[in-house]
Amino acid sequence: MIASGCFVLCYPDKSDDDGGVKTKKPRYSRITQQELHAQKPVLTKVWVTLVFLITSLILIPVGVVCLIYGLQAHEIVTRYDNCKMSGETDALTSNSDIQQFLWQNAGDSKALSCQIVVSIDKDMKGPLYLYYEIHGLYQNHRRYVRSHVDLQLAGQGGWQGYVNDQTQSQSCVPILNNAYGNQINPCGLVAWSLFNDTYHVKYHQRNSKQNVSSLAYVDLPATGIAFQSDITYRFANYTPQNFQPDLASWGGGGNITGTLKEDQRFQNWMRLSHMPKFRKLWAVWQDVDLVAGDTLYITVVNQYNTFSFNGQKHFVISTTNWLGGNNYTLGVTYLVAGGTSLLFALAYLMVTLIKPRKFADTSRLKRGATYKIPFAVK
Amino acid sequence: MVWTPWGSEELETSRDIPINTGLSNPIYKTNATSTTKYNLLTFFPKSLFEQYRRVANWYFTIVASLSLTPFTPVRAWTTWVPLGIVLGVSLIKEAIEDYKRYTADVEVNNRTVQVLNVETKTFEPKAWREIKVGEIVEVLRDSYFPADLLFLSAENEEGICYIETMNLDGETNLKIKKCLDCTKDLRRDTLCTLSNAVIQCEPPNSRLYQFTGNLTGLGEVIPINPAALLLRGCSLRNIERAYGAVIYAGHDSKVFMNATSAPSKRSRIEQIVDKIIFFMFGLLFAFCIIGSIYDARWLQVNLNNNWYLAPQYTSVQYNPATPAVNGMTNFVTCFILYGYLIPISLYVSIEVVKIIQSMVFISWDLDMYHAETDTPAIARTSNINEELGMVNTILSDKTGTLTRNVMEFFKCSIAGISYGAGVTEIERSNMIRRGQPVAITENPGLAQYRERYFNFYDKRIMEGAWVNAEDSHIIEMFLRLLAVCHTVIPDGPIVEKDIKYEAESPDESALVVAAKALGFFFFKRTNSGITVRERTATGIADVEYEVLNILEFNSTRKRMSVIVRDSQGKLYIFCKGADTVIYERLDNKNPQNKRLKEPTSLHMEEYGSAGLRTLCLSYAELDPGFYDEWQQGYFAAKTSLQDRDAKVAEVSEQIERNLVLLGCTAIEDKLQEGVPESISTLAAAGIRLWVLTGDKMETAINIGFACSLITEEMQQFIITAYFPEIEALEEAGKSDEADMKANEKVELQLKQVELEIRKGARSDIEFAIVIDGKALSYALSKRLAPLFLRCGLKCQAVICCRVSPLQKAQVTALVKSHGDVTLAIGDGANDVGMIQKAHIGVGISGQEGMQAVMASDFAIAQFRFLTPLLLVHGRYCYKRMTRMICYFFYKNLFFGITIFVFNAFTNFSGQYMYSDVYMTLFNVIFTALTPIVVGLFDKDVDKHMCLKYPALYKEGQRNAHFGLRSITGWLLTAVLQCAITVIIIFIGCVPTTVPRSTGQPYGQYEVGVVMFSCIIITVHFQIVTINEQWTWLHHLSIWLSQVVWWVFLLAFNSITLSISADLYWLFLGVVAWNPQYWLYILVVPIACLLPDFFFRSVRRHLYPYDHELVMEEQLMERLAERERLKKMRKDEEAAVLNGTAGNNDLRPPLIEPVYHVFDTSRARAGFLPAYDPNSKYYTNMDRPTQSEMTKVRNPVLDNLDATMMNIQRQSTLDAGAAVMRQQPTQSPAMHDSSKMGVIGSAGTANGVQNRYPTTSTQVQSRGSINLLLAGYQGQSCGQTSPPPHHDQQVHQDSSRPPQILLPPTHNANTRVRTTARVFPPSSHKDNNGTPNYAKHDRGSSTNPADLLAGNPHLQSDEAETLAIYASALKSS
Repeated sequence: MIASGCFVLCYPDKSDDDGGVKTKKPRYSRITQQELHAQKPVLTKVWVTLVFLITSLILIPVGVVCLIYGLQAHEIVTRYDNCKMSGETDALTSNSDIQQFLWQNAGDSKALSCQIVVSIDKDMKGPLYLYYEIHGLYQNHRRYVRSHVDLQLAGQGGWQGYVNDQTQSQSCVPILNNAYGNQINPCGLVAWSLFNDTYHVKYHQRNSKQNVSSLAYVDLPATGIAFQSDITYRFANYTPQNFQPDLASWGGGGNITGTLKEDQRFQNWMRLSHMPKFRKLWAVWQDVDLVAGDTLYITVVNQYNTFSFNGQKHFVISTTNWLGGNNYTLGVTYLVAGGTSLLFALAYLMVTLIKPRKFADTSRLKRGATYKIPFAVK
Repeated sequence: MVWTPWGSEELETSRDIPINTGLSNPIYKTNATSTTKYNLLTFFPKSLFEQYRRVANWYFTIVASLSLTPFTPVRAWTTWVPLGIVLGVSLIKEAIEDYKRYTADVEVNNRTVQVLNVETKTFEPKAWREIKVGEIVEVLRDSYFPADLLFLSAENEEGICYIETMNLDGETNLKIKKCLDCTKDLRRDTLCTLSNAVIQCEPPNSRLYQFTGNLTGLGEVIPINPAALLLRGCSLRNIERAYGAVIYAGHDSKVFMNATSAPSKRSRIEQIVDKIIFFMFGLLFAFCIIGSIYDARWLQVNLNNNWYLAPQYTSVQYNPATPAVNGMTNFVTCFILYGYLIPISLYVSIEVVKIIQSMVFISWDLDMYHAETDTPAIARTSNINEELGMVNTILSDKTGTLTRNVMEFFKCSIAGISYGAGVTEIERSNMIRRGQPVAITENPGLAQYRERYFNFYDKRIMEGAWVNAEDSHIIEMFLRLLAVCHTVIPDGPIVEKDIKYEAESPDESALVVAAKALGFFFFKRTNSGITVRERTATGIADVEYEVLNILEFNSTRKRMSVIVRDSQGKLYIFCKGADTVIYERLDNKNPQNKRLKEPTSLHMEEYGSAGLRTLCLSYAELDPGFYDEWQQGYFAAKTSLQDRDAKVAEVSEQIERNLVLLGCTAIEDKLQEGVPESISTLAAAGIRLWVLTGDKMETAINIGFACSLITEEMQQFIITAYFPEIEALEEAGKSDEADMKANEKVELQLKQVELEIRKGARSDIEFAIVIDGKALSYALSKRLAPLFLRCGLKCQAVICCRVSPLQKAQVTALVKSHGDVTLAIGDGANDVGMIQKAHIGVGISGQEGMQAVMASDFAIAQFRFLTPLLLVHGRYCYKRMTRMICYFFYKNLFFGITIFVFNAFTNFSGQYMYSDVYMTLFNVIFTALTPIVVGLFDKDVDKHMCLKYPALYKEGQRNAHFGLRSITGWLLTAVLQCAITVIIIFIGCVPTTVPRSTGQPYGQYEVGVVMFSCIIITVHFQIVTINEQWTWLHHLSIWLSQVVWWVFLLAFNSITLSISADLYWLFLGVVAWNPQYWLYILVVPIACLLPDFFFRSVRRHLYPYDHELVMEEQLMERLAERERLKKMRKDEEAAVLNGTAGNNDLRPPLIEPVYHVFDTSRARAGFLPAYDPNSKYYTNMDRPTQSEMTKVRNPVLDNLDATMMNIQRQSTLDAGAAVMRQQPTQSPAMHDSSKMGVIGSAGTANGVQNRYPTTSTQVQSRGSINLLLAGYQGQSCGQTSPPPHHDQQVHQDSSRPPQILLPPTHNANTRVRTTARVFPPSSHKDNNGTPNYAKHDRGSSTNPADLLAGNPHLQSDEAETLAIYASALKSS
């Protein structure tokens, strides 16, 4: 089919009415004659070595800087899911027992509370970032990820965020309606499984003689913890409807405080994590500088159910700098890549020194050269 | 009645067509034609069906359909849109092509023609489509026949007409057609009386040159021969009107029955692509199965524990109780998800690239444009471009392909005496080969007799001198035969000089022209006779011969005869044909035969070994009684409806007997331009050449030597089946025994050959086999074919002589069966089988006969264009295509695995971390442009390097870039890079890591963007590191594709939430302010590329590819050139400062062969490509040719040259033939150069050193320039730069110095010609284009023209140049 079209496409009929002589001679252009101006880099020994060396020269310093700043930030991670809750008896040994306990005391924050003590081992300049960290919860499972409606959260596409659309309501399966048949807003698994542990922090300075119990709780408002763009664009300013987490039977799921736009912890929860081990920002502690030897006493309502799947819960306190939190991967990556590049440069030089080759030696290609390559075999 | 799927249809066994009654059988097709593939209703189903012949389209449709189910991981439109685009593009292309065909059909169908109306008995206009079988139509001069017609009458007494068959077979010569005698007097007003005639004929068929039919109803039964058939597609010439009755109309006409679409060929590369796709499918299924099993198991065990997944609400896909169902639904999910492993845009990209490669690069290549015939190369298929880079064996026709098929009467032997003293190119090359001195024996007087078809001089018989020769009566008969025995049609004025002959074959023209030149001027042919103006001893007389029968030539008869009655009433049969055929039929008792047989056959052998085509001439006087008797038998045979050809042949045999030998003719079939160079280049590229020719063995061997197919160093084996004992057996009628014997003999010879080859295998000896057609028929038998193939494949060259078209195809199939990529090249209808059989069919276009071209995949004008077609285009296409395809799979595997790995972290639930939008766009947009640019513009070495080092081609033959190793290499690279990326990202960017000062850790979609950015950059930087050249298109595609990714991110950042979904405010809200993002997308690609780059650099150092070495050489050349220009500029400046500029004595005189300074790096290469000498690549330093020497750019100088040459020719003629020119043994050119210093000195500044010291070869070729100037106007000598090409050269090299041919100087007996270069007087003014060498080397600002502008000595103007010319002329 191409063949038949060729004559039509490529060459106009030679006969010409106005008598001019038309030829089939192709017109010259750099593109059609494949003579475009071109740089032709040839990877000579010098170039290859230079490329490796320059690469390592760039990567290693950057790696050093990244490593310095990555290690500068300090974080303290404290596991607390296994802490002893106030209502807990010694009989609770297995996770399923604890789960039972959670169900039985659902809503009873007193019975479920426990205290964790965090000793500061290093000076930490504020603002401090407080996180909860969960292990073993698959926020990236497809059933979970799909189960939310962006438009609903943003208050678009329906009255006050109700899901009217058939296809969108499919997204909320299995959490679309409550037991009375009323549509839940926000619907879906993600919102439904909202994290609901709470933390009350008491700050005990190293030199302070004050009794811990008499210390006041630090005021840690849940503001400034979500992405500004999420607050502005992705979450609407309406109060949830029919959003009563089913604490009684499953012990999971918290409630949203205020409107969606106001509850930044909810917003952080809705920003899904791609690994089963994740942390989410819980609060920012502005205007504080912790000193090594200080202690934090944290009362936790240990009610979020990670026990059913043998998960863990941690409380994290961390500083950040321009590069983020404590993290050495970036720096190491740079250093390893830079080091490898350096090694490659040396190895390549070695190879070229041990087995030198004449540059541009085309003698084996000359006509009549005995360099023969066997014909392609079947 | 035969049942066919389309309904029952009556199968015609014969046709009965009542003429002009309106009562034709309604089952005969009307004249409406359609070439479209679709109509409005069938377009969608049919064209879609065509599209779904590709497996990949089925796959993508299934994926898209599955994405409608609830199990889809992505939104449905993200799979449908790309599928729609891919299908839509193809459908639109189909629609456009079909619409073009439709409009052409409408135009043809609506043409009108005058048709005889049965009722009104008048001619009325009628559209072509309404014409029915049996109607009588009137065709006007220069218009086309609307259908296949029976020629009833024409507007002349003889009832003959001439037709042009260009559209049918491409032949430009006119053909004579003769109407039936009984109807030839019918005219426009009387044709209606013809109403009871009935044509009985065979049903429609595709045989163009055969027809069996009779006309009945007019008394006796009149046979209709093909000469009375006017075929659709031909046009009427020379005669105002012709009338015919429609026999076959519309799709029944022969031209339509012949229209076969070229067989669609698939390239080897595409077959490998299929395999890779199957591998990818395998991987996909493996991924799916692993995922499904894991997912099912995980849900079964863990779902109930993971309360946040709400296990209490089970669904089809999530039910711990039914793991099998979960697994199956997950399989569907995964099937869609991993679909990105298969590149959806691969086929579209391949198609786009291939079409541009073939339709633009190949078809528009000026290096393959043949100016003389105005023929560019044509790529008729675009499927197999890259196969051009993998050819192992070329199977070539000889006549018309290796040779020009321009026949020149060269020698003859009459009455045992050989006439004609020319030396053929083959003889000359033989002499050079043997180291004999090549004497130039051409008589200068020859030129005035020379004309087209005639290159002969012998004073013994020319100018009527033969009358006094011995045996003049034999010579007379010989010449008479030449003038009478043929089917040539004279055309034009009856003047010897101006008459033109239209002949079926150029040999015939050559013979008739020879007869004319020797005094027998044939000038008139009527229906019944021909007239010859004979100059004999008795004077000049117009003699008329009544032609009674013409026994036509065909390949089995190998002879043609004419039976004539001369003016005295004597009957003669004149017979010319192949020697073996004629000798068999000679009268053994005739004393003349006894006398002539031996010397004539000796001469024929001699001629044959000089590469000439010989024909044996004989005649006999016939007894009228015998003739009458024979005539009846002949008529019966002619009118028989069955086996007519066999019967006619049998009857003809009876009269072609007892012939008397006259002598033989020898016609030179010149080699095509550049054939030897091409063949040696192709041989150096490791391509075997098999020549399949119908010629005799001696001729074939000699052509083989002449075109350097066989060389002296080769060990040659000749395999034949002609042995006396076999012939004896045959003569005794024991054909079976003879067969067996021959079979044995051939086997024995082949075994011996194999043994010899095995012995010589260790040394570097090359081998050649020559095998004749008879032996070949045994060698091709099932038993011997493998042996023959084994031998043939070890040989550099194989020549098969005396082969039939069928054998050509068989040989091709045999070579193909070995697995070699075969290319068949030919020009004639006899090559069609071979062309269609081979992997690649190449037709020689621009010559007679389009059948080969119509069957071919590529059409080129000259054999030598095969070199650029294979070595340049084939090589490029192969490298580009393979790299592009490898790159496609590399990037898709890379991308696909990341999806799989992430899916593993989600318990194979089918979740991805990307957005479905940009996953889809990965193939369609982000990485779509780069592979296409790679596929179109990648170029490792320049064109001229491809030709300088033909061995580069072997990479393609070995399939070095698309074998298992390289594909695995690419795929492993993908896996390795993917591993590096995944490890870094999945360790570094986890949701417990905080990448920003505001404290939020990584989230799912953010990491998706990080990962995807890394992939986009890595796959593009992979191209950056392997790119072999950087044009602006490379830059554009590579950088733009990456920029587009961020543009996309920005766009989707703000686009409405319902479309952008997860991407809504992701980039500006989250990702962009993450410093780690920017740091990762720098280090990850580098980390990915480092190992690959290292391994490639080490490999390059230790085991460089051939092309890499050549690239290095190119680099050296460029550097040297830059250095040289710099130095030159410095010298110039110094010279200007010292005031010595222009002082001739301080400069080396610049006398050098002229070459095209198009590209100095090219010019430095110093090689002899087998290329168009008119091409800019023909930088033939070693052996400048005449055509090159005469190529002058400046039109003023052009004129001068012409004038000068005329003067020169005149003076030489005056000097007479007494001056025998010898070859200069040394290089007087060097001495002369000082004389030319005034002119030549300026050349130093042209930027071209005299790098090529004058060698003996140069001098030798300069010697041939003498011939040119001396008036030996050989055909090749006459070829100067054709005007169209000239334009282009001027365009490119506007400031290139022209060269001037200086007149020869007499120097005792030795005349020396030199060429010198002058700086063109006008060039310093003409500064609109800088010289190319400066252009090429952009790093340097040297512009010689600028430098020269300040040099007073170089500012000569045209007048000065003229003066120099004049003085030079005077001195000669």
